[in-house]
Amino acid sequence: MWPHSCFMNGHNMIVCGERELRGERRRKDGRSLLATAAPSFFVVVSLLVCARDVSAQRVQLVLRGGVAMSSTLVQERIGTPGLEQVIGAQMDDLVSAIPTPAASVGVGARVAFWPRTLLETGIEYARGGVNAKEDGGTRRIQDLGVLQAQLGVSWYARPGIELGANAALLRYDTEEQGIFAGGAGMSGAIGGRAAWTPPVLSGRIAIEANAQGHRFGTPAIQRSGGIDANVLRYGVNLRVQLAEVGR
Amino acid sequence: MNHARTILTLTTLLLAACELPTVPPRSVQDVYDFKLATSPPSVLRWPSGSTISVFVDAGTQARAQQMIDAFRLGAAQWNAAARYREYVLARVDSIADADVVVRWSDDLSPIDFTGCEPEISNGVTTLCLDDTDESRLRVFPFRAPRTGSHIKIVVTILASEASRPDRVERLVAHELGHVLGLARHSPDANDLMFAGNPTRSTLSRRDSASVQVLYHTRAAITP
Repeated sequence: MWPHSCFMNGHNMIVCGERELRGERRRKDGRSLLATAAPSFFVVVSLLVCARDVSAQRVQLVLRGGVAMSSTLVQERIGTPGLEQVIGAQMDDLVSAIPTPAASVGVGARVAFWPRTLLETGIEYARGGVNAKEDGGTRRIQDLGVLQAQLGVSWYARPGIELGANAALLRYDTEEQGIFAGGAGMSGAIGGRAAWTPPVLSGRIAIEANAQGHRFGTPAIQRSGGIDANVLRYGVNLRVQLAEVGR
Repeated sequence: MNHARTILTLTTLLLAACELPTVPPRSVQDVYDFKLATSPPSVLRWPSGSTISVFVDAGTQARAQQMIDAFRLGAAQWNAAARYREYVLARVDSIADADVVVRWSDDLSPIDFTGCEPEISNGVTTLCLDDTDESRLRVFPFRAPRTGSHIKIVVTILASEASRPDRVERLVAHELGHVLGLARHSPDANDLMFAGNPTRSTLSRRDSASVQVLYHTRAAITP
């Protein structure tokens, strides 16, 4: 589907280099570690060559819109048997802060990088809220936005199907109160994405499902003895190719 | 074998990914008694998610800003302890919108305290149960001819304390703890809600834990 970004045999050279990196040939035939590592420079060299060739590719500009969801941000056990006995009144067992489904929108650029492989970058913003869930029910705590910048690769697994992985820098955008009193800082996230391009509109639209994980903890949570842990974000997007630019 | 290893690895990764940020539970020592000294003792607090409107009746003298600043500092601390926005202490500009009034003791009170007079102290929080419904607080009426009050709690700071700004900050922050429903005092001098003269104007871990537990305990009395 995509013209090769690299010269014809370059791909194989990368594979060879990776085998050296994985140590499959380490010390084989009495070679030194230095000599074993040397072929891995092909990886760097080839990436540089490919990067040069990427500039010759056409760049897809895409718009994304959809729904983003998240796992629980924090949970706190309040009512313990000992405490309930001392206080002598019924207590909430557990209270949690759970993000609501959020509307997300983003823009990105995609460029052919490798045979059947795309390099992707973009920014995305999701706006929703956070609910507190306790025994008495669920109530809104505050609005919550999540801004992220992503860099990733996608691979055409089969016609119309893409699989991808990405890394992102993610920032929570919200009022400094509650669990976000004192801010939330910036987190690194890694994730995966699958997309299906239906055979309509010349393949300009696609449906994407994505999931990513990041460490989460805020000064307010840490002050109360909480520990950082993993939060999963996932969502579904409609991707629309707005334009294709370049040579 | 390789499949089994792959599945094991994926399962481990999935479980690691599902690890949830958790705040450990409080122990009995982390919390002091906060129940109102009724018979039997009762839990008093505002409904979860309340915005508690506070009118700072600071007068017009030089000490006015002192009272406003003390409220701002105290409210910010207590609000920061409400991790799940159980309450928000918010200042309002009109006494007609207020649930709570903070005032100097020597200023003419806009409130009629008849039958529920404040005690004399450096700082005191005054509230009374409703005569007809003891699960509610009495509403203090305005002095005639004004009507339409829904003030249920009044904080009075002894006017002579104005000469010591640091004490005013401590007193106001301490009394705001009572406004929230911490109806008793901590026996520990390191807590803001200590019974004697407070030695600190910031919340201790026990103050934060106590108000957090209070707002997840079923209330017998709501303002």
